[in-house]
Amino acid sequence: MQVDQFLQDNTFESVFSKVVVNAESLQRLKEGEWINDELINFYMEMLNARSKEHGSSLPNVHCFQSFLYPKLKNEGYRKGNLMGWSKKFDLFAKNLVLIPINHNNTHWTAVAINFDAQTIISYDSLHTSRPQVFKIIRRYLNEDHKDKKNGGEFNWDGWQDITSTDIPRQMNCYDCGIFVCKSLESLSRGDKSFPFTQNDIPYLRQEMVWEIGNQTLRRG
Amino acid sequence: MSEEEQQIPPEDANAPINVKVVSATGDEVFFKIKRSTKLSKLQGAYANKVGKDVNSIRFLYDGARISDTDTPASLDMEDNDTIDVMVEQVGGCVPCSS
Repeated sequence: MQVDQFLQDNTFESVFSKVVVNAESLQRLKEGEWINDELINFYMEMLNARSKEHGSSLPNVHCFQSFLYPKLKNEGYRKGNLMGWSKKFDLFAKNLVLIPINHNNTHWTAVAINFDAQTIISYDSLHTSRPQVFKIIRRYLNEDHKDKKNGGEFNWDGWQDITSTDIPRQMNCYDCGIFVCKSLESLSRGDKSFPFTQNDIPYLRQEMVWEIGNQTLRRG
Repeated sequence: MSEEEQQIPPEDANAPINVKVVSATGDEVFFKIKRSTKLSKLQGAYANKVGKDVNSIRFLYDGARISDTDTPASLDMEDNDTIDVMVEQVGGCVPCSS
């Protein structure tokens, strides 16, 4: 089967929007392994491409790479030179902005900024509350709004910070990155039902191998 | 170091530009490269300088990855622009002890 072929190929390399998944990274999709930024960011670029391809039939989504958050957290907007990260599109015209977040090189979560619902939702498969994430994301929106909208303040009237209890719960110590990819895949289609549980993760790891190898999402 | 002052008209499409490479810990390395030079050269030189395997670090310009065939011209880079260097991130869960 194609999944095994990809996993056994030690010259495997797949490139999407310049993000490279090599054989070493791909092995991380095997059961029990922690996944890395290359797999997450490759997946985010596939979600971006699908959103562009489908035009108005899917939400207008932008997924940032996982490096946005450490830049925001460690350097801040100006020093981190983050003005350029949204210069080619209007962040504030998106329906949904999705950001994968790595915590201390041990855990993956995500945050979704929904401009229609006016919510910032933190998705953590361990259902931990992440007050710092909201603080950093709000500061980012303030600063990017000032930069892109002639110094104008972002209007926070009606906005809510929410810690999702809908994201399926992780029952082990290694699957969080798969929960992040598959939850964001679902959200990027406007589907908030998260149609999977912990029991489906072994299959979803294989599905991701297939998707990355073929550079195609199963749900086109 | 590479501060030779050259009289190049600013409109010259191939005038060298200054590029700052910034690591995740804030260390800065400056390069002067031609707009037509492949950035893979800069990536290799940077990795050499900091003693890292070039495949273990990620180079980003404006939040997007830089590929081996990109040049400052292909990315519309301007003088004094910054390239970010990031290192691998991994995760599986929060250790129960922390």
